Amino acid sequence: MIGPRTRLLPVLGWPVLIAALTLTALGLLGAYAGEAGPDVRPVKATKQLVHLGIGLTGLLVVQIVGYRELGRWAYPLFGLILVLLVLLVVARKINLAPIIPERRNTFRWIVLGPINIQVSEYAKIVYILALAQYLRFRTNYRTIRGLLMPFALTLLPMGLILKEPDLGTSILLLPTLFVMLFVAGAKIKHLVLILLLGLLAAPAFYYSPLMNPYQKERIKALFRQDESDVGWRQNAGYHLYRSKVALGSGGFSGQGFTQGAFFRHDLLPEEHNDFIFAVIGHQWGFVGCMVVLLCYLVIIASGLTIASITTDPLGRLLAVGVCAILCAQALINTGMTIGLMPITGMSLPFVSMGGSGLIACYLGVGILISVARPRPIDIARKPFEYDRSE
Amino acid sequence: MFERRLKVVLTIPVICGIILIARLFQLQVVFGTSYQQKADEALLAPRHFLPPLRGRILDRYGRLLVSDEPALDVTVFYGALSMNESYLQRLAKRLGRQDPRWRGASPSELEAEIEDRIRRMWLTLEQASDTPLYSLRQRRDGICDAVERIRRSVWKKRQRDGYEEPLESVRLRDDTWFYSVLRDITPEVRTRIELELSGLPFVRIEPSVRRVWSADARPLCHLLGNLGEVSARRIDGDPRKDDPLACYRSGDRAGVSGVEYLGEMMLRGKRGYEEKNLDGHRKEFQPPIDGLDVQLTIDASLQRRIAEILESAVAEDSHRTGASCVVLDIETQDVLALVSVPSFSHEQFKKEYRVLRDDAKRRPLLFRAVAEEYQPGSIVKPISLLAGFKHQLVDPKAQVYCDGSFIPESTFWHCWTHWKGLPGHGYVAAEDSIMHSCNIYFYGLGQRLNAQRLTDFYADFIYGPDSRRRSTTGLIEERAGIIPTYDWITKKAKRKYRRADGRNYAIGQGEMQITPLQAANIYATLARGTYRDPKIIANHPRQERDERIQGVSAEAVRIARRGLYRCVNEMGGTAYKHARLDHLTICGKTGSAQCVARVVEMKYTFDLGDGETEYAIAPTIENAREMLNLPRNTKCIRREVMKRWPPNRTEEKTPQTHAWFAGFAPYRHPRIAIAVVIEHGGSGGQTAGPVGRTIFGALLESPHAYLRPISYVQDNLIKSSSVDETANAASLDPLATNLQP
Repeated sequence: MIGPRTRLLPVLGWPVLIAALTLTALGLLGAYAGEAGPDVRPVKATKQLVHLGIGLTGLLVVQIVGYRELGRWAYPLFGLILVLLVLLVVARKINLAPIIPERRNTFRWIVLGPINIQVSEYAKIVYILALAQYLRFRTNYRTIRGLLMPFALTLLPMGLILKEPDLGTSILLLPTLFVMLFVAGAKIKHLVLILLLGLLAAPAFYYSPLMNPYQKERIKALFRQDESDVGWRQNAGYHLYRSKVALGSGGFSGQGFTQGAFFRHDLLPEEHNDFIFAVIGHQWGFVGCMVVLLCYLVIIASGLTIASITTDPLGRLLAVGVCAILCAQALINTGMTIGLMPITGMSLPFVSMGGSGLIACYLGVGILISVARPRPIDIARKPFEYDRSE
Repeated sequence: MFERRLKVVLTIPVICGIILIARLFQLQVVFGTSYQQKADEALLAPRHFLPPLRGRILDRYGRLLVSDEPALDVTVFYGALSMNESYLQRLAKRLGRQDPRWRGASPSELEAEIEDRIRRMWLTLEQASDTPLYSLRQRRDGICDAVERIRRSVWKKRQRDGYEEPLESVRLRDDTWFYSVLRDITPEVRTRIELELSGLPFVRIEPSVRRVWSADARPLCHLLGNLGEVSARRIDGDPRKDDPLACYRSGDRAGVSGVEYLGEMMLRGKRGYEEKNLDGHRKEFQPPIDGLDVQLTIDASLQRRIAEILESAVAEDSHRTGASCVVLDIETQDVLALVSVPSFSHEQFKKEYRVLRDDAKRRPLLFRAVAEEYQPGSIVKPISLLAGFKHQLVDPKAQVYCDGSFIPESTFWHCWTHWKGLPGHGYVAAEDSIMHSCNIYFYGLGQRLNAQRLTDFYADFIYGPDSRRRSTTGLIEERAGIIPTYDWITKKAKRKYRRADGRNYAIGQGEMQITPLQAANIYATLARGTYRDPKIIANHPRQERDERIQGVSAEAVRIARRGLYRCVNEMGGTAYKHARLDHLTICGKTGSAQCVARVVEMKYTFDLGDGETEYAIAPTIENAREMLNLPRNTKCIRREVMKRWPPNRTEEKTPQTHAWFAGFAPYRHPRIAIAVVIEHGGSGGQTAGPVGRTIFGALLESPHAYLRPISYVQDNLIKSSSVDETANAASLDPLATNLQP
């Protein structure tokens, strides 16, 4: 059991942490550049530093508690999150203004004094915990009926988050579910079947009243990237055009730190948040973008390696889930910035400003590192070994 | 188990990553330079427009009438005008970032501060310029309305193209512009505004122009017209609306009346612009292209002289409310003078517009020469004679006996001599009928011709033979007059021709109405033999018409013209005493047109809704609304006449007649045609005749030699001819050969 690979395990936590910190540093610099001016204090970057501190504390706490203990708490936590999400949905009907204010026509935050909690960000982590806890020793998901429960676990928070509304976050849960099921050993033909059914349902969903007109508009804008059309540029494709120009004008080596004209004059919408990737590309060019992508690759590759080395099924599922969700989020965000994905309000993990998102990401990293940490030799059987004869 | 699956999972991000990297490479490395250019474009600050100078208006000899002078406007950014929320948020953000005093303030505080600043800006503008706040608000609302209208139409078009988006998210070029809210500010106002509003990014003081009228322009006030804010409909219908520099912008000023409107396409020019990027470097500059000058056919000094003559004529009698005169060059059809009295100055128009508007008695704003329709009276008699010739109902030699009344025992159908207590004209032939203006002759002619044939011929003569066109100069003020043709009678008057109509129309009474310009054009046509449109702008490319009038023989025209000649130059002619000049052979005709008294005060009753009404006694409906502080669209449900002008002088029903004189000169080789009308002037011969003579005198005295004294003509052209003009007239008249045999 204790081979060279297993010895590698405790070391693998470090690259993940370093890559995450690099990403956050890049995000902080980008936000600072967007805000900086003559004698101006960068308020957002300072705030983000505080959030980073909280995130790192959370990471330490996870190390102390250990992911197994967390796994035991998975269902109560999941229940708590569901209650909070229901509260957010209810807030639309009942006025809970001091605690749940309406911001940009959405109800996503619970405000307790100076603390703003974006529940859906924590819901992602808790969802992974719960799903991993559910899947860890089960075999019945190799039947199609056995898949019902994992799907129910997914669709419940998804629907609630969709009601906030926060399409981006709710969509993230689906690829995570598929990857975790896949790794846990669900039958490929089942997964493919469900995927195909989903694809077939997509057009129906597109034309159903569930889709907002502005969301359809964004999808249309994606397929109609005609940059010479002023109407497209100024309306449907406004965000996309701006972000593409910001990225493209960065060129190979970028405009230089705080030099890019784009954030000197506030030309990028949501520059510190959803479009921070464009800010990085504008400042540091192709090189900067490569560094960001490399960091994600390091995190995901290390995470998956941890998953493959660890012998604990819960650890493995947790590691895969965290990787999947981070990977999906990063792909969708960068994809929308460069015009490969429709624009949804999705932050770039570790990089974008926003407390809850950052803290949740570091909690995820904490889980990864916790899985990687050495512990007493495991006497359990190898994960997912069950009688193939069934 | 399933460790292979982990490797499969790893391939997904790797593949996606490769796609991402390829796309990034394409964007940043392959197309990097082109995006760099686009970034530069995106960095451009809103364009700074440079206004062109509007073209000048000159008279026919190049005298300056109206021109533009540089001035300064206060302009405000559209976002601040419309209180656009996202713009205010952006400003608030910038304020919080750039101003140390506001650092750390909450967004709502910052937004409140920005709103407060905009409010203070309006107050400062009000105090600095002495413009009441409500009129500033009106301007702002006008601009916003126009822009929002454009936004709606763009939105509708995009919806038709399949875009679904809320109306507010449509962005327009117009959103990034500054709009004038205060025009032509004085240096003091400028200093004050610069001092008090310098820190606000949404207010600017920008160069603009103001329109300046020269001293020569005053008698031309009606013709020159005015500028006004361009309406949304006009922006939409503008043929140059696709050119961002040439098109109108909401809030722009364009000609709304007179020559300013007629020559708009020549005068308006094209604005230039200056583009700076947000860092302050000038990126692009295009100078404005000034508008073209418009040269009128009007002689400004002649115009002023005639205006003086008419003003003194109007001043002679308190009943006279106004006068008008048109002078046409017969050869070129240039309008040499287009006078309308009373007139006003540009300053008066700007400052005392309401006073001018509410003067219902004198109506100074009315452009009488083209926009007021009068009963023509006897001055149409030569045309009805021509109509008689056309239909072979007139024998030049045949005589009609006039004993003063047409139908025995009738109280209405008399010759004009009857009203003056004079005996009838006795035996009257065709020529004599014009010379004496004998109504009896024309009653008979009109009856035999019948109203339809007569009015058809009038229409040919006044509007031109082949055209349904009603406006001849292109001025928007110009009115068509009323020729009671069959169509008009059935559609507008909603009746059938009566037996008496022919008689009435033959002497220019009844429903028939023409403008002074049309009257002058009738006489020019008579003198020339063909119909042409009068011309007002000398350098305006315009289709010329030169059309013959069907069925008019040279012989008929000669008889009519001889009648006109004898009317002025032979003892017994109606204009002999009043209009004859020794050294010019004027041919002309007087007219005393019966008219109705005009309403000068009314009781307007308005419906306020819910059955409530309110009334006011006022000269105009606008004035009544203002007196009651009602909005512009309040409906008036009842009008009662309170006062008419002129008041009945002698308990008779009919007020004093309009006095006409129309004619041309000289008799041979006619060069100038004129028409004069003096409202409520009384007898045409006594009032308008002398005025016509004075005007011909002024034309003789003019340094531009429109007419030459007879001695000159005799010496140079017709030395051999005898003094007996009538005998040789036909053979000497080169224009007579133009006419149909």
